[in-house]
Amino acid sequence: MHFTLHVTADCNMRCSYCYSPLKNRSEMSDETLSNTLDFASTLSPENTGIIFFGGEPLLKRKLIEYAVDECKKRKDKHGYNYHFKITTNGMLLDDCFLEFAEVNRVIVALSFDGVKNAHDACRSDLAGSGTFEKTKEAAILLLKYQPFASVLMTLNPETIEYYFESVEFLHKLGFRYIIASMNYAGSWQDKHLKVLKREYKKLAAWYERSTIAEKKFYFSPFEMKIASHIKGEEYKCFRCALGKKQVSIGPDGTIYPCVQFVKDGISNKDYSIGHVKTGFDGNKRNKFYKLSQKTDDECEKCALKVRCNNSCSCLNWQTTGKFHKVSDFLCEHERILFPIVDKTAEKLYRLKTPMFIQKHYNPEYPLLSLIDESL
Amino acid sequence: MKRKRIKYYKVPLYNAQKEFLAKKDVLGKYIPVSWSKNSVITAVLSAILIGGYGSKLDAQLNDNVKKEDLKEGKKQLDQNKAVNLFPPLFEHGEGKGAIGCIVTAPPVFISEADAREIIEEECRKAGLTFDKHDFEVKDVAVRERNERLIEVYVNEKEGKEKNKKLTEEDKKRLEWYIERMQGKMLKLDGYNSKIGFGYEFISNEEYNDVDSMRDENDKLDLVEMSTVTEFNMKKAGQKLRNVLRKNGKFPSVVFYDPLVNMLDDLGVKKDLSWADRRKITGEKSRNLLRAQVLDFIDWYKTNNLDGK
Repeated sequence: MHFTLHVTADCNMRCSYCYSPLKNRSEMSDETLSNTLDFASTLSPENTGIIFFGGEPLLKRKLIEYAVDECKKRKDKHGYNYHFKITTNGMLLDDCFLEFAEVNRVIVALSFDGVKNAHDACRSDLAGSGTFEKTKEAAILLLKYQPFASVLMTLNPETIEYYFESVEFLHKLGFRYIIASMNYAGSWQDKHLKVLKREYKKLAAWYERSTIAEKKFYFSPFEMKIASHIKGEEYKCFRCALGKKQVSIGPDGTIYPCVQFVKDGISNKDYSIGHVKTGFDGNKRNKFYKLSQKTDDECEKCALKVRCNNSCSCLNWQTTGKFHKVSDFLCEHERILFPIVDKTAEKLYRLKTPMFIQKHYNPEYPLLSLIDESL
Repeated sequence: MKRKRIKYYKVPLYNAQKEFLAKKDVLGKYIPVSWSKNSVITAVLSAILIGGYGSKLDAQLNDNVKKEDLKEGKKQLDQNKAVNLFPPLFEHGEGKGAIGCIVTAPPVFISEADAREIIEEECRKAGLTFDKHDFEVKDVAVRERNERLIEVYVNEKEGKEKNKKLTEEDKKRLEWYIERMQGKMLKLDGYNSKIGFGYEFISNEEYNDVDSMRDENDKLDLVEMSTVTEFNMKKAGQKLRNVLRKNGKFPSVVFYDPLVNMLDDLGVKKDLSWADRRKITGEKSRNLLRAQVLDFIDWYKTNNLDGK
């Protein structure tokens, strides 16, 4: 099971699309952290995923170091197993932390929206200035320590015209794992859909070229859609199980079903499903889970129902206020993306492109790919 | 912008994982070039090929896979690597049609000369040229030599079987039979002797020879005599590709005549004259052949045969 620890609601940036309100600046204490680790370790002793999240988690660097240290002690004493990940905006990323991450196997993911025009349009510092240059420096430093680090990019209506350019830029910079997410809560209009379609077509050509050239990369929108067909029944495992496989822990120890529900850690307690000191509120947890498994009437008879991203309750709630009701934009997005991705995959399959075949059909691909990269 | 239910979405034309992995040794056939140069990957892939996928692999690696097994896996991989140099048949056009007395919609054939022009023009753009033409592949016969019939005809011609005097016409006829029974070796339409790679286009003139070849997948068909000649170019293309692949000495790509029929519903207006219809259909057919070549060029670049 994975536990996303919102170690602080504070942030050293002011991104226009941030879903966490600015009014409260709560932080996690050492005691809450310790309670959280006890709670997480007993629930999932064999494989506990700890994700440091915020706000900006590196504002609480000491707490992170303390957490990793505490986990080591618990491992030695009880044999618990942990793995760590942190999502950061990179402003405070330095050699010192990356050396710590290397020793303790903390995987670092960087939020970076791509080219300057895209990144600076939404991601500014406290003074309102763009953070592109600083983030780029952080990216180069990160890749020096962790060549397989993921980059998380958010796509907005205002910057969607830079989608392809940004992916290509991040890939050229050295990122091989590109996780691209739409800002579904953005003010998307019909005019943006045309641009989105154009950008996806450019990305399809890039995906095809890069695969044929045997470049190693993971571009989430394409990989997930291809997997939704190739994996068949198994793909259901990737679908949302709200509050079951992954939960978020607010700064005060309140448990939430997923990241978006935490907000500032204070104002959204209606959606809490327990507390690390007292454990899960089983009734609420199950109630939310059941709601998340419902399907919207419009989706029920849709031919893309099983492959679509309609099951992400967190996104649905953020955009429509209901766990199972998808937003108009999400539906439009999926209908644009599927035919483009499938056409690309069909061609690569028809040509029996070796990298496509191995990446999508070989269950040992991650291992083989790692060997290839390491030697 | 609104939510909209999709009533029908075609099943994508790429296999699901289960279906794909059900084919024997399929993963070993498509190995990225960079992997094939890495001995550790080759060894791990060998282990996968021997033992299947998933947890079995870990178990095998932990149990110290027997050296002979790894050797066997490596051998299998090397064989597959060689086989991998044979591009698949790039399918554009059904390649089916018929000519003869009752056929109302005959196909428009692409001549050998036209096909060579299209193929070589596209290949040239990708930097692939062919310095040899009608390059004989000495050990691939498109028509087997028939010793028994040669003997019969030679004996007849020489009067050994029946003591009768043959006319010049009879002799000519027998010469023709003997010639036919000598067999015929495959001649690749184009061959690049520098990289050792060729191409062959199956035209209607060559169809019968290729169709009568037998590969391992063939079942013995009854010969049907008819005033209608049927073509299945795609099947013949696959057959020739399999024969070449099994032979292994002359990596080549096989193209086939897509055979667009003149009455196919391809947007051809019904009131067009036969000549115009022929012209339009011929163009569609040539475009389909061009699509086969373009797919091949993608494959060619993928496998870095151009050395880039």
